[in-house]
Amino acid sequence: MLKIVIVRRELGLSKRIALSLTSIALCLAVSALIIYAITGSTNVVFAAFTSFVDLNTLRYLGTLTVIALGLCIAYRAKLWNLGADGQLVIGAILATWFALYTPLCSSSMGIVLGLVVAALGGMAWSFIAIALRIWIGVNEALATLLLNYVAYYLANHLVEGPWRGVAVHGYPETDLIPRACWIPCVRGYSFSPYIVAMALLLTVLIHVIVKRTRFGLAVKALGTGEALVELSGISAKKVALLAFLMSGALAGLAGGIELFEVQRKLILGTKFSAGLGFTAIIVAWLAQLEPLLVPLVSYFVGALLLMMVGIQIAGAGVGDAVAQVIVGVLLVSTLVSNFFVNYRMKIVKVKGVKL
Amino acid sequence: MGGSLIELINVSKRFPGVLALDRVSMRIEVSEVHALLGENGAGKSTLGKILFGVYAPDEGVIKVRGREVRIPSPRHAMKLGIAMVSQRPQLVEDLTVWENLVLGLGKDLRRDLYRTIDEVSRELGIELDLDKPVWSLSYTEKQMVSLVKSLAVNPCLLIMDEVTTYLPNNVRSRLYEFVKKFVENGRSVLFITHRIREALEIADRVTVLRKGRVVATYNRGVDIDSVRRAMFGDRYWNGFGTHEKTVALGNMVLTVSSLTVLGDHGEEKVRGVSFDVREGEILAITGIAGNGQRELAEALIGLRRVARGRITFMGIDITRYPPSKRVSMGMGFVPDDVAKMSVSLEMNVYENMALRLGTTRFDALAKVFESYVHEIPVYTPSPKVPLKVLSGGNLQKIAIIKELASQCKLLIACNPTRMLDEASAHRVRNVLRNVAKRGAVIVFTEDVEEALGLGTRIAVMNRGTIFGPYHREEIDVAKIEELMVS
Ligand SMILES: Nc1ncnc2c1ncn2[C@@H]1O[C@H](COP(=O)(O)OP(=O)(O)O)[C@@H](O)[C@H]1O
Ligand SMILES: [Mg+2]
Repeated sequence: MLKIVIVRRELGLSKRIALSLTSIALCLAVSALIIYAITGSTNVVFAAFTSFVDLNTLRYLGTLTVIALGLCIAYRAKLWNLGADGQLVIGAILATWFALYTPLCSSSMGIVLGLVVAALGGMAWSFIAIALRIWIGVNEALATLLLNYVAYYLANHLVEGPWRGVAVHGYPETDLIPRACWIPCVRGYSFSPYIVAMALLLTVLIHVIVKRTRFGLAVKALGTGEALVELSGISAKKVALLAFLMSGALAGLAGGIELFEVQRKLILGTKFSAGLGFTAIIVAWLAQLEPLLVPLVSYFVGALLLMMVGIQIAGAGVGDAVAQVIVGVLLVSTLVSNFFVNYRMKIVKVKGVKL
Repeated sequence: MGGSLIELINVSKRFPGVLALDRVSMRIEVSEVHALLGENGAGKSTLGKILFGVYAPDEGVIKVRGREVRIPSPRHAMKLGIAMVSQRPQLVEDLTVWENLVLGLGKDLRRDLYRTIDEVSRELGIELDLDKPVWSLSYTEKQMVSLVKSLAVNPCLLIMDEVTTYLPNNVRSRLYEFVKKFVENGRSVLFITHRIREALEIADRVTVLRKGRVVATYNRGVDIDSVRRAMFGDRYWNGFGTHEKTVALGNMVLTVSSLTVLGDHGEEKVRGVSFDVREGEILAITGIAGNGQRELAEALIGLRRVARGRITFMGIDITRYPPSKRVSMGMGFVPDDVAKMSVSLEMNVYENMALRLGTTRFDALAKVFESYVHEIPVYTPSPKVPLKVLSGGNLQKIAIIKELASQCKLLIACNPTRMLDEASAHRVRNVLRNVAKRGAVIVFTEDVEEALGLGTRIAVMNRGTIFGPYHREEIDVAKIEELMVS
């Protein structure tokens, strides 16, 4: 029988950064080759890589940063929230309700209020999973993962039934939300400077919370063990609850942002989230759970997502699927190489023998 | 004895902020048990790790059987016949005992493995189930697995770094016998310890390290006082300190009535225990390890559920309170294994203090820390390094300082001096006496003399029941030892 053992490497910071950069560069080179091999055109390769200097990437930076910051908190506490995608969808559902079925949008703080509602939605959704974990002992990774599907289903049900728009000719989507609820984008681009600013502000805020508050220290301590937190005079349950709810709230907030800034209507659940909640997991880990690194990584990953669009536009005949495969390969190889920067793998032959 | 096996010449090692080893020269002969003795942070582990290829020396020469060698990794060390066992067993928790043993072991060496396992089991009197996953083993069993693992490479030098710290007394003395036998046929042991008595009992020669320097090497038969003086210099000290004559007893702090607590496997580990503690008191609870002390301590702080009975703290029934609530009410806890429960190895000193004390004003925390370091010296390269680079003794001191700084009303400390050298242990005992001036202390200790020297009252635990507490005048070593085994 073979067993795989994973051992942490102890490398200096400079070596780690060098290795990370090398692996990213390598991944990019490989992906350029793949794109070339599939499309046979240097133009497509070139078009694909312009996404790294395309300001539209900032649209992803905003959303991914917001979600991944929350995940950093939960993961630092070793609480595995894999449900950001569903929490995002629930946030979007509540924001849609706010925009379409309440008159509050046109008030002066309408959009802010809408975003708060979205955040509360994501938070409530994450509460289900963490409550099950704390009080009944259900694995939170599993619960959040399953709750994603419930959230998608809920969105699908709404857009196919009670919330289907009157002006959408039978498509499964709602009407556009009122203009008062739109977060205005820079002309010609699909991102709002307000959202980017908010994401960066949140980054600093979460950084301070994580590094400079007792709660942040307790979150890290929870990753070591509940006893450590409890013996410090802090309720481990409360820390777990709060950390998890924060991650849910931020994912919900991202749902509100996606609605007000980008989609401006609710569509089918998986289409709406476009997997951003899962992509953000990758972002959080690539950033090594350091809040300050999250926007940088978000930009990088966002550029990859944009690349997908770039490939399709430039390479006529390159389908959605091929583009996704390319970007997927790139993401996975970045993640894997990042893993090998930090860990070593050993394969051992073992046999069960009794004395 | 036949010539030198290992020779170190002017070996130095610097870490950021400290010179851990300062031109150390020493020799380990063939067939000798060589003890390396020193206070916490003296550089003992660093020396061991250099020989085992974990760290590279900054300067100096290492010779094995007269030949100059470089030891860039543990793998090389093992090729040279050098193996190491440390205080914390380095095993993969998810693998079974057998899998751990053969991990990284060459095929040719596996044949002898059964013999080694047999031999060690017999010598230490512990059976090993090879199919058990390592996480399910007790500390002693884990330590035994690491010992077998190191022996499997047929080393000519076995480095043992503070391996006896957590072992129960009976296993410890069998281990001494094992070590003495081990060196009989041409092999050697470098026995690292901070305990003078242990070093003198086991070693053919003793090298004393102080602040990274070799201060003396003694042959068997040296008197303990000279060794002490070498180890601590002017801070030389003898005895367990004295009590103030009269203890002014204050209010009732803790009342425990008919407490029954279950062990990890559902068996009754604490059976109907009752006692109380008042302000001004130090209750020392002693006994042979495994007689319910750990379970009682954990129940007192709330880490373990109480099956029956009641705990009252400052007049409030806290039997069902979680630990966090008890701690915020003024209880403090120093667990047996501080690295698991009391400090985070990933955080630095100030962050650990902040976590416990609730303020993140690091400059203020630095001042608090300084004021305690005055009483209990902690050797860190800087308070800003993560605790994982500190030696075990220093972790223990930091864990204690944290609780002191919290100004707790009742401090429960489990073997607080076990990891400490004599001078540090002495300081810690004094500090505990000071705590009792404004509150109460319950100290669990396996060291009978410590219990007698420290406790204003002494209780003995035996198979889950408690004898006493007795006043210090009512009891002596002989009586305690009788109660421990009766
Ligand atoms: N990896 C490390 N990084 C920085 N400082 C270290 C490291 N290892 C040990 N030290 C420091 O070197 C000194 C000696 O430590 P150590 O050899 O562990 O002492 P001992 O084993 O005698 O208690 C201590 O001050 C310790 O803090
Ligand atoms: Mg040491």
